[in-house]
Amino acid sequence: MVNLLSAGFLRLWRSRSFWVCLGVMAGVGVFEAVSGWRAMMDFRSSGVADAIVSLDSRYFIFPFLSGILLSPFCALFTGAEYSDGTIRNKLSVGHTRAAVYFSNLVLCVTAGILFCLGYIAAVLAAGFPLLGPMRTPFPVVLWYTFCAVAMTSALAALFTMIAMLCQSKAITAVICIFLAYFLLFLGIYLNNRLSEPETYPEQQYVQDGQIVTAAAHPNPNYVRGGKRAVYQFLYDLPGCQAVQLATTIDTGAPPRLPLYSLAAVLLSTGSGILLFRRKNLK
Amino acid sequence: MRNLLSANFLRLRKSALFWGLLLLLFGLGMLFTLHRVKEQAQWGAHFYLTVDLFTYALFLGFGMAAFIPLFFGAEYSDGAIRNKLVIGHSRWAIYLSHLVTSVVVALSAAAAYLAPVLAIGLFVYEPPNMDAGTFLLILLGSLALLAAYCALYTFVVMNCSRKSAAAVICLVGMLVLYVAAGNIEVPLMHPEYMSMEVTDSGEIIPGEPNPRYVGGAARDVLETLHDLLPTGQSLQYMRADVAHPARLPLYSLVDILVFTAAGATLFRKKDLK
Repeated sequence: MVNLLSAGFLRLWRSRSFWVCLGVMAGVGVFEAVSGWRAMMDFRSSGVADAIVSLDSRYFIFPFLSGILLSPFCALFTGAEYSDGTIRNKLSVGHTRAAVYFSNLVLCVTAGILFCLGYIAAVLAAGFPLLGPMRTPFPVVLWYTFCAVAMTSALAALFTMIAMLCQSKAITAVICIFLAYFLLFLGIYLNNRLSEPETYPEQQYVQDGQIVTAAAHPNPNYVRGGKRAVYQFLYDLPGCQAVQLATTIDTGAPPRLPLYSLAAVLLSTGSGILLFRRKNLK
Repeated sequence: MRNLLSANFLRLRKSALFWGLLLLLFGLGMLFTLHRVKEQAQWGAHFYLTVDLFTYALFLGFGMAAFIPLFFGAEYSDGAIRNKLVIGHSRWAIYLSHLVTSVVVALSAAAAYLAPVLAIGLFVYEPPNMDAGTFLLILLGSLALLAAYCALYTFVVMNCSRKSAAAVICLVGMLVLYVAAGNIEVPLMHPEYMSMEVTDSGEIIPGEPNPRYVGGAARDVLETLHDLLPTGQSLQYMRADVAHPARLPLYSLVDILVFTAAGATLFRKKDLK
């Protein structure tokens, strides 16, 4: 296992896709800070009093990006094991299938965490002098970052499972990227549905010179009962969590989110190893 | 060229990926329409026929980004491209046959989406809230947009020998182009005035000018960029809210010509090993 990991890390540091993804994360971090500063300057030049763009609004973007970039990375990095025949070589020199799986999982999780750190370092380095310090209390930022990193690790576990079970690198890439997009868009959809108010409040408006009062009435779009529980469960899944994290910055992300991420890691890794053990590697 | 096309179509007929794509688009069309019908029955809402009619412009942007690398990328990995060259086909003919085949796939998938939407929608939706000429222009433009997407992805696939890398470039590139189109759209959405007042005589008096409104040459540049980007067009067709319906098909044609000319030129010089 130690040998597998040291060989894997050596490959990781030399991997072009790793450095490209890390570069993109860092580049977007700098871009976000600079565009925030430019927006603030535009506001000020157009006479808006107390125009401030906070560093916070730029910091909390990275969970959206980490999953999207991790999906092609895991597919290409782990998929190369199949296309180069490395997996068979590793098995033939005596490594167990579980050890091969775990080493790839550790590498993908490490890459995911480094992508997050790449963004954080860049946005703080560029944003602190341009936009000033963050306004959100430090413990909240730390908790948010922990939840986001846990979610990224869960996505890495999910993508590793797909990459270890599918021998075609191109198909793996397509499945992983579509899954990342799907989970993100599902999160946006679920956020919209779960944010619907239960009732529309009483409203007054003028019609033909008369003040008309419309009584409060239930919202037919409000999701109730079992359907709401299912929606909430899906909303807590890694990927969808990125949207939930972004919408709960003020209140703090619910403590169950890292637990869901941990459950996703355990479930995907457990089922992935079971299936990989039975897989015919030809 | 004809032989190349018939070989491609034969492969297409046997491709699970192709039939899967058609089935997916048909399912999406059916799902969207049934959802709207349910909404109509539940709330008494009324929808125009155009409500989900052109959404395939969005789905097929992503769908073809996966289909073209997987289907044509196999030509590199199986050595089929070299075989085609060895038996005397020109590189240009190979490139064009791929482009034509992918356009046929995109149009077939659009038809698969439109079939349930039109079959049910014609009976349950209100007629389109636009004149027939505009409707036809939007329909034609959205189909031309599919050809532009095909030209873009064919450009990538024919010049990238690795199937997986081509798939990643197409799919991630698609999202990048969507983000770009969305960012271009934001400043264009700001109204010219902060408020408008309507007098009793119906006269509209504009309020304070909006400092965030982008006007003049900058607006023209942003609008042109938004219309030139296939993803910018997709956003407009998806909402059936097209500011310049006559201009977009022409821009799609420009996209097709530029991507095809650049792609074919690079492919002619490419070392196929």
